[in-house]
Amino acid sequence: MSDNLTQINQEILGDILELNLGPQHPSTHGVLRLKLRLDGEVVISAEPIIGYLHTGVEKECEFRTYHQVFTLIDRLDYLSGPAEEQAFAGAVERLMAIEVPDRAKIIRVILLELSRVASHLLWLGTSALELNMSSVYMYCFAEREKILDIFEELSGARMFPSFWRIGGLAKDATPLFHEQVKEYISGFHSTWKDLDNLLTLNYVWCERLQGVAVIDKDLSAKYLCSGPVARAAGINSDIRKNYPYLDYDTYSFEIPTYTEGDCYARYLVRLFEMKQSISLIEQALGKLKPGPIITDNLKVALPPRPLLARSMEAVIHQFKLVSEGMHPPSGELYEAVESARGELGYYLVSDGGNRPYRLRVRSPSFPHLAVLETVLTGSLLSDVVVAIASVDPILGDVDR
Amino acid sequence: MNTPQASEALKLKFEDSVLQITEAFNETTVEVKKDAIREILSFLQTPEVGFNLLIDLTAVDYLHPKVCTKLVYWLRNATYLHQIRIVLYAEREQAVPSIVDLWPGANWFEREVFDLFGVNFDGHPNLKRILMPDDWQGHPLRKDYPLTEEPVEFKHEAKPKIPSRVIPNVGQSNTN
Repeated sequence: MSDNLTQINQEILGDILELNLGPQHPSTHGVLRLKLRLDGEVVISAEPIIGYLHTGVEKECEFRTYHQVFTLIDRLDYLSGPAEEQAFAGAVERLMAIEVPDRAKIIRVILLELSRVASHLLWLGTSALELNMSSVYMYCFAEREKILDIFEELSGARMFPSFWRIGGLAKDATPLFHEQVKEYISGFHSTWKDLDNLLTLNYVWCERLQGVAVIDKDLSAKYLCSGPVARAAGINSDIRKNYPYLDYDTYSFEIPTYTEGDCYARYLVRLFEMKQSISLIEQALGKLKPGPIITDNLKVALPPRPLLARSMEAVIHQFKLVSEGMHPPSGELYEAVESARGELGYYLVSDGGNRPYRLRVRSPSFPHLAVLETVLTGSLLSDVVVAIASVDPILGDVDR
Repeated sequence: MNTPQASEALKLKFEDSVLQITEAFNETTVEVKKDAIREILSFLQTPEVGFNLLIDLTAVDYLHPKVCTKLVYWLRNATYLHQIRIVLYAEREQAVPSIVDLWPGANWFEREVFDLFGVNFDGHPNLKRILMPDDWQGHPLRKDYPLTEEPVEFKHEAKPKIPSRVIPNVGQSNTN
């Protein structure tokens, strides 16, 4: 009660400064606005305000056929589009009981893990830049550029490969892709060591990150946290291990887990996750064998081009798929994947029509921003930027 | 408890409130009465039952056969990795008990459902719009809310080639 009174007194005296951080501020990683109330350097309350990037994708998806949805959802989490595509494709494939060919699954894993590495590199680079370590930023972006080049070589697009189709992939990977990925993973280890040397024991980095914005086990469970945020708090959960999709259970990999729950632990989780991803890609490359890349169910996948000249049936299938789309059975299901930020879930409701009746995107960044409201209270203003960066929010994913 | 045990326990403990239990795609859906949702969720949350993780809270809007909104709670048991879906149907303008005190993280999820579906949550500490602008009219994810193109403003008296329009929802088969 007396605390309340002093607070009111301070407010009357004008000692409390209300500060809007964002929506256009480079350190908020997008268009996030934070309404801060400050007593000197100390944050009394912080209210994240979102919605500046709301594009109504969930509504839009209800008006598009299943094949058209991919273009829209790619742009939600614009740093790891493949994860969004896999979540949606996985949901539809489970709904229609489609078996994805092995080769397609393996190429999907390679792309997913590459995008995870790219996303973590961008996160690391920008977080370091905020603490004025611009050389780390350069290293990270140079490395990420190589991944984008691989995406471009494979699909023609750098950020959004749009490579997924229901039941498989759009195109087959060329031998060049194989070579490029091999070259990339052989070069990655030295870059990873560089980053490790630059940051992990760096005095400034440790001082700024350790003990800042602690999200512990309890808070993490209450606030629906997942992914690196939960793993830094000691919760050993990963969708790839717990609910394996794309045969992730046949790969051997570890889940880096720490118990401190601070920004430094989240940094370590992401740093070691990159290493695990590279090992996953290595294993996947070893498994890659020639074979079909999309299901042969012509009610789902477009018929192969040469078949169109010979088979009337193929032409009819092609026409129906392009003009009307496909009709999955009615039902509802939830399909989750582990994106770079945490549990990305797609709740798909189908009524038997050619469009999703409802497509809900359970984005991982959304609860991670909600938890900031609690975590930032009582911290220093200079730690706010570090705290936002450490949960790695992607506002396209938050606002949908 | 795993999912079959939990749904059995729910049936025994809340026999008046549990309306239906369905299995599809390896997922269990329990339909419950609106007013009992808090008791059911706090029962599932207890350490004996162990469904202590709320993963998702969302809604689906229906116009047929009845105008109503379905609320979906997706819970997970972190030990057994079992999952369960609790659903309830609320008519328009009917308030649903809020679960913010059970899971503080549900705060923003309920605000989102309020914003996009217009479902009111009883006992929510700060029920206001979250994604749409504060002065927005209507709730966009309701099925009777049309998808419209935003009019583009042209300068210098230029005319748009194609005027903005309401996009018809052709082919949505839910019109029977």
